[in-house]
Amino acid sequence: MKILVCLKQVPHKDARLEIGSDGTWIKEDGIKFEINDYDNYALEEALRLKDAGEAEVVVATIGPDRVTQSLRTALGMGADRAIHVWDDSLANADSLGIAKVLAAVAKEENFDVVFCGLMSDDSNYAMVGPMLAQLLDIPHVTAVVKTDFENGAVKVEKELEGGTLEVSQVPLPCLLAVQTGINEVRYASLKGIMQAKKKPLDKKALSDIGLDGAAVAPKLSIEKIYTPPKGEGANLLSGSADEIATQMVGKIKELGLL
Amino acid sequence: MAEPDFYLSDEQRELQRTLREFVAKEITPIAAKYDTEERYPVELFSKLGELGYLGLRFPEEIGGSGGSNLDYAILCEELAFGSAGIALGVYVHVALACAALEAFGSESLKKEWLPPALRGERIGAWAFAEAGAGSDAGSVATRAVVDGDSYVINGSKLFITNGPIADFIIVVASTAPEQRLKGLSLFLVEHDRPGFRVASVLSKLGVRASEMAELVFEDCRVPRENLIGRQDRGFLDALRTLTLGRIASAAFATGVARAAFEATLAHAEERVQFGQPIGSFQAVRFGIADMAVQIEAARLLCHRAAIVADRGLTHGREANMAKLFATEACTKIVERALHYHGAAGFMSESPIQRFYRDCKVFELGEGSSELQRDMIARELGL
Ligand SMILES: Cc1cc2nc3c(=O)[nH]c(=O)nc-3n(C[C@H](O)[C@H](O)[C@H](O)COP(=O)(O)OP(=O)(O)OC[C@H]3O[C@@H](n4cnc5c(N)ncnc54)[C@H](O)[C@@H]3O)c2cc1C
Repeated sequence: MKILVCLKQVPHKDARLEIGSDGTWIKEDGIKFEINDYDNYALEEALRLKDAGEAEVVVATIGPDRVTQSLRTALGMGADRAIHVWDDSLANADSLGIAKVLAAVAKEENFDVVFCGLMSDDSNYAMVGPMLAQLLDIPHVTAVVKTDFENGAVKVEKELEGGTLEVSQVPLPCLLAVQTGINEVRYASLKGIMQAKKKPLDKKALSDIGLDGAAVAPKLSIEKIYTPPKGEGANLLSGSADEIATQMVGKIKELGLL
Repeated sequence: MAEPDFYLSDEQRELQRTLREFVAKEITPIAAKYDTEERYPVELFSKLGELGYLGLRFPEEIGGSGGSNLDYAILCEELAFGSAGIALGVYVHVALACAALEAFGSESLKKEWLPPALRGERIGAWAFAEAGAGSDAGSVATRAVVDGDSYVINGSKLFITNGPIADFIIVVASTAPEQRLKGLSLFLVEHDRPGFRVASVLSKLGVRASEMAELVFEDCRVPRENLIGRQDRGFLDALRTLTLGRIASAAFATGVARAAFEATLAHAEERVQFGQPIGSFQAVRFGIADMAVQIEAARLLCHRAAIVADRGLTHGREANMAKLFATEACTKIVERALHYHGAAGFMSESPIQRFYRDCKVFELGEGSSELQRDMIARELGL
C-alpha cells in the first residue's frame, strides 16, 4: 500500500502572534512553527498502517524553506520519504491553489490512500482535503474518527454534529481528512530522529510537477485580519452557588450547547 | 537569522523539540502529583526506554541508541524542565548505574542487565554515600570480603536515589580499607539477594518525585562475577570515566531555572497591580532580564563542556565551571521567581514552590559548590 500524507506547517501554538504591517497575515519572523495538529493525527494513522503491514508512507508539504524541519519531524516519526514543493508564487495561495499542487504531486504516483488533517490550525478553511479529492477524482470522507482497512476498502467513521457518528464503506483509492483525537500520536524515537536525515527529501518546483504560477494563482485574497475588539454583553450571574449553577445550565441549554 | 543555538545539529534540534513535546504531555502534568505523594512514576522508565532515550550514549550492540554528551545535556535539561525529581531518577539509573555497568561490567552481566535496563524494564541505583561518607569518598565503611567464589558485603548506604524501586544496585564497597579511596570496588547487587534490604524510605525537602532509601547489606553474598571493574580500583576508575554527572547537574539546573523563568515571565505579564502588569515595573523587568541572561550563560557553559567532551578532550575544568555556575544561578533564579510571584508562588499548588524546594540539591550533589571551586582553583595552579 502506498500512502500520501499531506501536512502543513503552522505557527506554534505557544507563539506570540502579531499582525504584519500590511494587515493581511501575521508576522512570521522569529516565531516557531510546528506541524498542524490535525496533520499529526493523519500522519499517525498512516504510520499505524505501516506498522501493521506493508505500506510506504510519503509526506508532502508546501511552504518556504522552514517547512523542511516539519518534514524531518515526520521522517523521524517513521515516514519513509518526503516531498517539499515551493515557489514564491505560492506565498498567497488559496485552498484551491494548494489542492492543485498536492493533486499534481499525488498524480505522479499511485497512492492508495491520501491522508490529510480536517483543517489547519492557522487558517481553518477545511477545504484542501475535499478539493484535492475532487481534483484526483477519488472519494473522500472528512472529520474521520476511525478507520478500518480491509480488502481494498476502508470502513470509516465520521464525526457529525452533536456526537453522532456516520459509518461508511469507501473503496480505495480515497482521501481521508482526519479529526484530532482519532489516535494517540507517537513521539519520534531517538533512532528515528538520527535516521531522518538519511531518508529522501525531494524538493520540487512548480515546473517539476507540470504547473506554473498562473495555474495556482489565488482566486481568493485576504483583505485584512484583525483581533476582534473586546465585546460587550458579558452576563454576570449572581446568587448562591446552587442558583448560579442552575442559571448556568439554563443558559447552556438555551444556547443549544447541551 | 542566526539562531542562538547555531551549534546544534538538525538532529539535536529535533531531539529537543520532541523532548519538549514529550515532557509537556507526559511529565509536566504529573509532576506536582508525584512530588506531593513522594512517589516515582515508574512507568516513565519504559516509556523513555521504548523511545530509545534511556539508551542515549550507550552502544547499539547492547540495546543503546548511540548519541553524544551534548544530546545527553539536551535530554537532562528537558526532563528537569518537567520535573527535577523525575529527571534525577532517570539520571541515577542511566548515567550512574547503567553507565558503570556498561563501562566496567563483565560481558555476561552486561548481557543480562543492560538491554532490559535500557528498555526501562529494570531500574538501577548507585549506592555510594553512607552516614560517614559524603564529600569524603575515602571514608566509605561498607566492606566486601572475598570468601571462596563470592564476596560478602556488610554495611549500610544512605541517601540512595531509586533505592526503594531498584532491581539492581551498584554498590561501592571497600575491599582494602587501609587504602581508603584506592581500596574501593563496585559490585552489582540484585534487589532479591539474601542479605540485602531497603531499611527505610527517606522523605526529602525537594526532588520528591524521586524515591530515596537507606539500604542495608548484612552478610550479603554475591558471586565473584558481580564485581564490576577492577578490585580496589573500580570506584576511582568510575570517577574518572563517569564524568557526565557535572554536565548533567548543570543541565538539570538549567532546566529547572528555565521552568521558573517561563512561569515568571508569564506571571509578570498577567499580574496587574497599580493598574499595570508587574512586568512593566523596572525592578521586575530588570530581574527577569537577569534571569534570562543567567540561563543562557548556564546553558552555554554546560553545552561547551559537553562539546569539549564529545571531541574526546579533557573537560574537567569546563564541567566544573558549568556545574558550579549553573547550579548556583538556578538557586538565585528560582529565589527571584518566587519573589516575583508573591504569595501566589508560595502556595502549595504553585509549581514555583516546588522549584524552590528542588533547586538546592544540585548545589550539593555531584560535588558541592565548594568542591567545584576547589577543583577550579587547583586547575588555576592555586
Ligand atoms: C537528593 C539527593 C539524592 C542523592 N542520591 C544519591 C545516590 O543515589 N547515591 C549516592 O551514593 N548518594 C546520593 N546522595 C548523597 C550524595 O552522594 C551526598 O550528598 C554527597 O556525596 C555530599 O555528601 P554530604 O551530603 O554528606 O555532604 P558533606 O560531605 O557532609 O558536606 C556538607 C558541607 O560541607 C562542605 N564540605 C565538605 N568537605 C569540604 C571540604 N573539603 N572543603 C570545603 N567544604 C567542604 C560541603 O561543600 C557541604 O557544604 C544524594 C543526595 C541528595 C541530597
